[in-house]
Amino acid sequence: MSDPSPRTTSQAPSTDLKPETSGAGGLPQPSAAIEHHRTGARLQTERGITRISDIVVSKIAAFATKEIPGVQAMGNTMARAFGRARSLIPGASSDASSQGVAVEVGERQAAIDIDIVVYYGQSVVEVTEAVRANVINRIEGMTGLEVVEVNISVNDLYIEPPESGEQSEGSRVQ
Amino acid sequence: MTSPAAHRTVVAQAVAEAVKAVPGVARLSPGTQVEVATQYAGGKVIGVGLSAEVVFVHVVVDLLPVAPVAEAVRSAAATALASLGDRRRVEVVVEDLDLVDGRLPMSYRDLR
Repeated sequence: MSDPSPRTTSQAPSTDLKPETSGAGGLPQPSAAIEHHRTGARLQTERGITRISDIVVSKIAAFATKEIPGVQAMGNTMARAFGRARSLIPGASSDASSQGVAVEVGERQAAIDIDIVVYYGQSVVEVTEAVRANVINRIEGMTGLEVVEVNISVNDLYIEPPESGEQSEGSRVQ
Repeated sequence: MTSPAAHRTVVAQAVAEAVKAVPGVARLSPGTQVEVATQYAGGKVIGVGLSAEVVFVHVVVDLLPVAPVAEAVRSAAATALASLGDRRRVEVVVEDLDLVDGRLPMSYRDLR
């Protein structure tokens, strides 16, 4: 059984969101098997534990969100404005890869908050459902953490500027 | 049990494939109002909308009369759902009628 999750050390191991009664020491075999079956990876083993840092989870969440076609951008108004300004500075470290994502990561579970901008004309319900499903799928698949909740704020709508509307009207009179 | 993201995509694609195979269905349609589609990572299944209790299928037909085609669409979608263990209701919306060579399309009865 190989563990594909990146082995990182988190700054402060936050406590489990839903603590198990079975303790960290001798994990009973049946429960470990269930854990493995549910999330596809085992983070707590008899020979040590794997911790996954917040940054890893937020980057995966951000990429999983942007994979959905109805998502135009991520982050609230302020974050997007700063992100734009930062991208104009040459050589500035742009860590915009997890903009708009806040996560809380425990030893087995993660909770995620996402801010998105949706294209005008899209069903917000459909886009958020797709984002939620994809984020859960990606995080559980890539890290083995169980995602307990994904809260999504739709912060703005993006209205695409009309494409060459005047030009086609101008062709009426030549 | 597959993960929710995989499952949404599987359901929507299975319904779309089943519906496209129905005689008289020209194509699936995103509709004229809010786009009807099921989005997944990197794309969307146009014309299939999933809600908690209902699966919506929006089609353009090229066969008359419309009613039997719509019923065949509903039946094909329901069969595809049932094969995945999904018991949701199917709602078919006929969005448009395609003309064949500038005329109204042939009758459903002629096809059989």
